Amino acid sequence: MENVIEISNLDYSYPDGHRALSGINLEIKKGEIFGIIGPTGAGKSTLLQHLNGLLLGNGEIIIDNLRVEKKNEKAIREKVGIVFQNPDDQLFCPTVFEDIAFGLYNMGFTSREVEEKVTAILEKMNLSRLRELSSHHLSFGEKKRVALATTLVMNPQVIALDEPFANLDYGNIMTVIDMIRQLPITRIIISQDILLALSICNRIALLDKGKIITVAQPEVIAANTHILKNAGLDYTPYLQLIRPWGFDFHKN
Amino acid sequence: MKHDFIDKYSTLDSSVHRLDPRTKVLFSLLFLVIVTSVASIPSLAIYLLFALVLVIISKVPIHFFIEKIMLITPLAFLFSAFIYISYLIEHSRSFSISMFSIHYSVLDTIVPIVMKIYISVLIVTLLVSSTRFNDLLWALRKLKFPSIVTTLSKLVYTYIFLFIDEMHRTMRAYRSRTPIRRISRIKAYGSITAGILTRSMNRSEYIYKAMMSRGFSGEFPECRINRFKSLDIIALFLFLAIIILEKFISWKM
Ligand SMILES: Nc1ncnc2c1ncn2[C@@H]1O[C@H](COP(=O)(O)OP(=O)(O)OP(=O)(O)O)[C@@H](O)[C@H]1O
Ligand SMILES: [Mg+2]
Repeated sequence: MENVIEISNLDYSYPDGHRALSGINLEIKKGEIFGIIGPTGAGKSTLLQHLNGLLLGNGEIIIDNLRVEKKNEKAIREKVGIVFQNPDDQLFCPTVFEDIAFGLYNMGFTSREVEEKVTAILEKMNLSRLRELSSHHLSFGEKKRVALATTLVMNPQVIALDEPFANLDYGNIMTVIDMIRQLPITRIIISQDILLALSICNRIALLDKGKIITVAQPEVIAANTHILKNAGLDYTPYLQLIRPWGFDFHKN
Repeated sequence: MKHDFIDKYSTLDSSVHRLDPRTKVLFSLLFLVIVTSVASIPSLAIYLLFALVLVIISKVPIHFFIEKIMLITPLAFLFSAFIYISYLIEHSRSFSISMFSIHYSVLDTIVPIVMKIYISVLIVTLLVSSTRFNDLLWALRKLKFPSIVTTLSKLVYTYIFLFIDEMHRTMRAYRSRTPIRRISRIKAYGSITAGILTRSMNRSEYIYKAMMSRGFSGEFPECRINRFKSLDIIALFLFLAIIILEKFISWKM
């Protein structure tokens, strides 16, 4: 399968000198669900912001044969949609409608097309009820879904989701998982919830202290408790917690 | 929490709301120019009446306008008193100030000025309250206002929402850790303000990223109603008719 994203030798330090990423090499294939896991502060969100040029580090990032740099900004941002970790950072318009319409207007759609597209996505994501509300009035789960809608409506080739499951109830998590699975595009998912990441991703990169420790299939990562433990991501104690209930996770 | 913002009545539906934003901007500008250029009280009365009719047609609650009028009233009187006094000083050398002349010039200077200010406030309030902010900026952009003006306004508008939101959050966080409702210490105000500012700044950085991430480049999003309709033509003729009427009446007098 062809690569849609190629990152080589990416380094990034924040203006205060903190080195958040060093020597990142990564290839992401077209249409896959690619997971990025790692402990708090590993640099996951920082890496994500490089994918559409919000941050520009040293090194090279190629997206669909286009180099991420200042002059390709517009094209890159239409190709790669990012949904931030905190939905309050993503929503800034007076109403949900306007928030979802914002990107479309920037892409140059006419009012009628925007109206149609926004209506369609609201219906598809079961959000029509919220259309004219202010995003500040929504519950966290609703905000998260609206934030996802603001990016999906732009129909990107790659969507990168920063912690899409955090702070959601199981019902909402399942809805989001279904939605992610059905999207026919390349999906990049950052998650602290390692079990969820293992269960839905095709491949996973483990990031720790700004470096990639390994990239592998979920079953390989899941079996390698040693490296997980080193990164503070060992999930087996969790399983121990619910073992008394009689589920045996190792059977299948 | 509820944001009380300038365009909070922009989602109402009325003939005024349905006008093309460009028509509204042009009319408002024209209206302001005409109103500042006439001086006679009857002429101003006609324009005031016209403005009031528009206000009623717009269905925007009257109290919204009254609030704005109340806000401007002290300033309006102060301003006209100032002008009146300078008028007196200017004329005191050549004219003796009889009771009559004072009375006459009060009517002649203060009343028209206050009327002009009221009409302008009504028109501007009507414009911004009956038009979505984005549509208004779009119209300004289409009418060749420099993009720096419209982009800045857009950012300010966005950040004001964000700022209000952060203010509510911070106050909530503060209250949740303060048993009494009142903020008791002056010092607490300082740290609360600092908190609100840093939080808004942090968030605005992310918000800016979110805007860029969705293709924002400083250019202007289109508006939702953007075609001149027969309604705009009708409005144009109505406006012309009022101007002609006023000119006719002041010529007769
Ligand atoms: N604006 C900034 N200025 C300076 N340092 C920053 C900034 N943003 C993040 N960092 C630092 O960079 C490192 C990586 O941050 P990042 O947000 O990418 O982590 P993360 O893996 O997404 O963590 P989490 O899972 O908690 O979201 C952290 O140590 C963080 O303190
Ligand atoms: Mg993060």
